[in-house]
Amino acid sequence: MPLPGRGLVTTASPLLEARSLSRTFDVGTGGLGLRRQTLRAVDDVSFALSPGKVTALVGQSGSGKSTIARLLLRLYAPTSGSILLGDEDVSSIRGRRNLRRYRSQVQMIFQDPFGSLNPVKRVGHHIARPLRRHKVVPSREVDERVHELLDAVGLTPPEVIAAKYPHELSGGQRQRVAIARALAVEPKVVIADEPVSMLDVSIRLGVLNLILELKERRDLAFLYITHDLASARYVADEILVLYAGQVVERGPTDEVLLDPLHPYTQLLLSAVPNPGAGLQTEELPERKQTVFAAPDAEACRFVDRCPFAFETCGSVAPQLTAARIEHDVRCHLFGQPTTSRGID
Amino acid sequence: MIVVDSEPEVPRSTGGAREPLVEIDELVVEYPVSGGSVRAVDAVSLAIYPGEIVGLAGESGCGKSTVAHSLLRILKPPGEIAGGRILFRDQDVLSLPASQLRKFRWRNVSIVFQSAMNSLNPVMRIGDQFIDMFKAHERVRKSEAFGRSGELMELVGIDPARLRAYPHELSGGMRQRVVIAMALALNPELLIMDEPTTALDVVVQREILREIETLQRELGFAVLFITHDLSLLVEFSDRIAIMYAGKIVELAPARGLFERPLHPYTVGLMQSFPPLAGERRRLLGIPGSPPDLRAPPSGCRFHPRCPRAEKKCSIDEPRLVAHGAGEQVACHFPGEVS
Repeated sequence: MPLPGRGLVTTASPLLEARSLSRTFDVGTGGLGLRRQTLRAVDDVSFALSPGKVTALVGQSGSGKSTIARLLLRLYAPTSGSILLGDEDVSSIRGRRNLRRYRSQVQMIFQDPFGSLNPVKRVGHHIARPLRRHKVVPSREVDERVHELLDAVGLTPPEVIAAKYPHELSGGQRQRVAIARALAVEPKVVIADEPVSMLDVSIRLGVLNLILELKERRDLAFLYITHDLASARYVADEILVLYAGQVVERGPTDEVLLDPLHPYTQLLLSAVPNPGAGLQTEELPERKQTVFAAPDAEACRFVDRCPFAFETCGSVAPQLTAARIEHDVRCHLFGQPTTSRGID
Repeated sequence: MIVVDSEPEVPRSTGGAREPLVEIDELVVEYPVSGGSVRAVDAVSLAIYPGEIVGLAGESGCGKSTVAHSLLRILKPPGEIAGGRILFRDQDVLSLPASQLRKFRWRNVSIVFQSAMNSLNPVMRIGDQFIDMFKAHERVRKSEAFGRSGELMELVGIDPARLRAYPHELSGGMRQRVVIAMALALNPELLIMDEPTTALDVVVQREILREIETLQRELGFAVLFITHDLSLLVEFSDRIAIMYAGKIVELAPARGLFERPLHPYTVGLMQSFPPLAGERRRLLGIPGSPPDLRAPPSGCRFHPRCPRAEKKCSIDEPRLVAHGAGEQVACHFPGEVS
């Protein structure tokens, strides 16, 4: 049953926006004669989350997708760039109260439903706690709201589930508890970091369907972070493909997945198991052994793995440019780079 | 190219009249719990023929890994084999004395675990770990062991120079290849892969599976491939066994299983993978969750989640019986769902 909204924005104007978000980490201490190095984990990433929309952030491990989630939750501060909630720049807010207020609007669902619930507390406790902490409802209505939330995520009968301990629930049920807990503070934005990758296949769809249902019924803005293109296609309206900290392709889901432009997106797609074909079919061409003696810092980050790489790729950083309507790609094969540094 | 005394090329077979390499017969594995025991594996029978790839699929807790661990006699206590027989050629695996077990493992049957890439010793060079492994199993000179290690590295597509590397200097995919190379070092007749690529990226996963497929054709070993990812199995295996709650519910050639799944659980699993092409539509998956094996459902263990279930299903337990050519299914109402 739908809960009363708290003045939700109903237009499609973005709720949460990342503008040129970057985050670097120092790797190597500089001691022991090692060179101090900087890792650009997230590099100039921009996107906007809108109510009633699921945006998927797709990439392999190490691509920076979880760092983006942590930046959005303000668990890390961005090195540069900004995060906007509505019109407010939240990238530098400080203080417990301000952060708490921010996090009541932006909530997170983690990958591991086994690790994110306290094993010695009952389900009801996990959901009642944020309700009390954020004073969402008066104390006497907390129990009732807990039941409503459990019901909303498909955990019935709610009275029975609320009295259980996490270990008495299956993985899928635990992930639903985590979702109910995230919804308790009535957020506008939910960031879900690989929410189904640890669940069994037969129950993954149930959780994905719940995300779709919540998106529609509550007009939530979702950021769905995953390495799995098939599930991204299933839930997302828009897809961003991340490689080495950069967005390499973005656009409406089917636009990107049915007409992938970036060689990396094509590689990812060709690697997804496809029972209709064999292991050998639809492979990308073998990588040309073009040797880039010393790909400089400006080289395309995919140059070493790209089957289509040519000279420019080794010396000029490609920019994210519109190759189709609403479909951007960061690749020299499409359009002219907006900068001309390094071109002979 | 390889030193291991490879047999002549064995064609991939789906059984036929050949003698099975491994025969698992009515295997029962139990775990004691307060007030009784849980049957994690309940009367599972499965034959693996030389040179074939058999897939074993099912969800966590269905018993698929327990079957593999029983086969290698590496079941962790308190789990114990409570019944059945496992034959490797004519050897009774379950009664092998400890002295022969060591030889049986690795030389006859080897295994690659899911997190195997993390099982390498972090403070030892890769090459030294190869040498240790060879020395543990046969009397070889260090220089010879080193030479063979290099050839194994080449076999899995890694520059032998990397034998000097420490594990942290290799990527996850390369470490997993090293472990696979080690598993193949003594030229086993059966390689068990327990979710070998689950922790890897799809791109790396595919590269490794293609390599194993090539090696398998070259060297002729059989593979028991365990995973929850049915779509991967359909591409990669010759035959597939589907397990649910400790039992095999369907056993069929991979292509047949994909084109005509007989058991409603198999059908449900197939429909749990959203497609990458075609119409985008709401899928239902399988309602409910796998049963608690401490109190399994009566009759067919799948009936509480089954769209085809009728009264009979909650009373009579269906047996795994032949259905058409080379297919077996344990269901009162097998066939396609309309």
